[in-house]
Amino acid sequence: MPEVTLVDAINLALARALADDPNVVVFGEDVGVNGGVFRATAGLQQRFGVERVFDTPLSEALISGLCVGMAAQGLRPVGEIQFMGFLYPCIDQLVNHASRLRNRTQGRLSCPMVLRTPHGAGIRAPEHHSEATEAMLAHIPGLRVVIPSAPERAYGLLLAAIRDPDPVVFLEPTRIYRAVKGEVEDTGEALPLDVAFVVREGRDVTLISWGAMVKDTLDAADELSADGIDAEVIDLATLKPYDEQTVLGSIAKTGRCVIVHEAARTGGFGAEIAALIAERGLLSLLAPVIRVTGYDTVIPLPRLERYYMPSVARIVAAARKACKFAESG
Amino acid sequence: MERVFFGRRPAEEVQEHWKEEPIARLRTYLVNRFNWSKTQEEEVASECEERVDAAIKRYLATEPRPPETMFDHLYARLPSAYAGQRKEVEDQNA
Repeated sequence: MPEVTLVDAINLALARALADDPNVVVFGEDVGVNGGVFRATAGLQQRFGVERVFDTPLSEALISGLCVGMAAQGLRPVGEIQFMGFLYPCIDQLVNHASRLRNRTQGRLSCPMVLRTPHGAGIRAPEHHSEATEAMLAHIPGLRVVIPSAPERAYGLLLAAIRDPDPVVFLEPTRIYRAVKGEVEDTGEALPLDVAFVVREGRDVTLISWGAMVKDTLDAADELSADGIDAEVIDLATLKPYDEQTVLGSIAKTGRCVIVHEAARTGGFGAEIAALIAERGLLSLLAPVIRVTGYDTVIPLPRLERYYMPSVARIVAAARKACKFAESG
Repeated sequence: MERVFFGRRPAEEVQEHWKEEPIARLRTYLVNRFNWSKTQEEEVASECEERVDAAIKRYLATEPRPPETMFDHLYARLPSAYAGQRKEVEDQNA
């Protein structure tokens, strides 16, 4: 099976969707001629033509509005926003229209659109290019928020997002666009949405993460195993709606939980998971739930960003603390 | 005209802009071009009022749907994560 990078897997999924469904259209800033700021759409315009893969003006509000209009009229638009920091002009379209068109028209219209955008820090970028504000999107009823953490899931989840009958914001972990490789067979097979993936099984502590941080979390699990701590790692994958059963099932088994995300801590999606465990998994807990997150500050510029991002060492320390708590208790 | 509140805008400026006010201009146009009368205007206003009242009555005569249907057109299929919330609304209002 061929090994590809995460961004190549995105490209493969887009090409597959364009080939399979004549209603799929792909567009955004520099998406057509140039092939995308991260090359996610490289070669697609040449292959599928300017009517299906095209450049837009520098207007994120327009890109998202175009998605809503096209989707409402039966197309399957896939819009690209170059960086998550440029997504905010789309909030009006996402909150006021995309997420509630079905509700507003009582099912007469729907909005099967996908808005793709790179997510997160760690690429030594300037301001507005390192955002991780997924919790803000996950708060919106009617929307789906999906974020892969490996090439095979990027391929399968993006296909699922494009085929889904409702709007999906598809966040792509910028830091691992090219840093991870995985085996992806271009079979056109989608992965399920709304489902978390147990990417490593373990008995002692549950580590929950998503996006680029899953890689660091897996590295932390390797380090913990050298200490005899057997960590289970969950890739949440779909944040809205998220897979509560897999989370609670794992906590019932391990009794300990560390949630890892690079987004700022307060009101981050980790708080939602911690609240779920407090409400419905309390009696399974052997230690307090611990969050390892970015700090409540603006994501620093390149020279300081590594001090902001959760490190493998911080994840390991948190997991050890959770395990030690139970021993001393 | 006198019902409209214009804040701190000087009265002369407001007066000046009434000359360009589109609804007032349309009325003047109708009067000048089609001999539009006050009676005609009152008839249209009263017909509009009747139609709006009738629509409101039709709406108020419909039975409100069960509260849990607030979930029914959120997604093509309600994600299982929200089935419990739908049931909670249903049970609370049974």
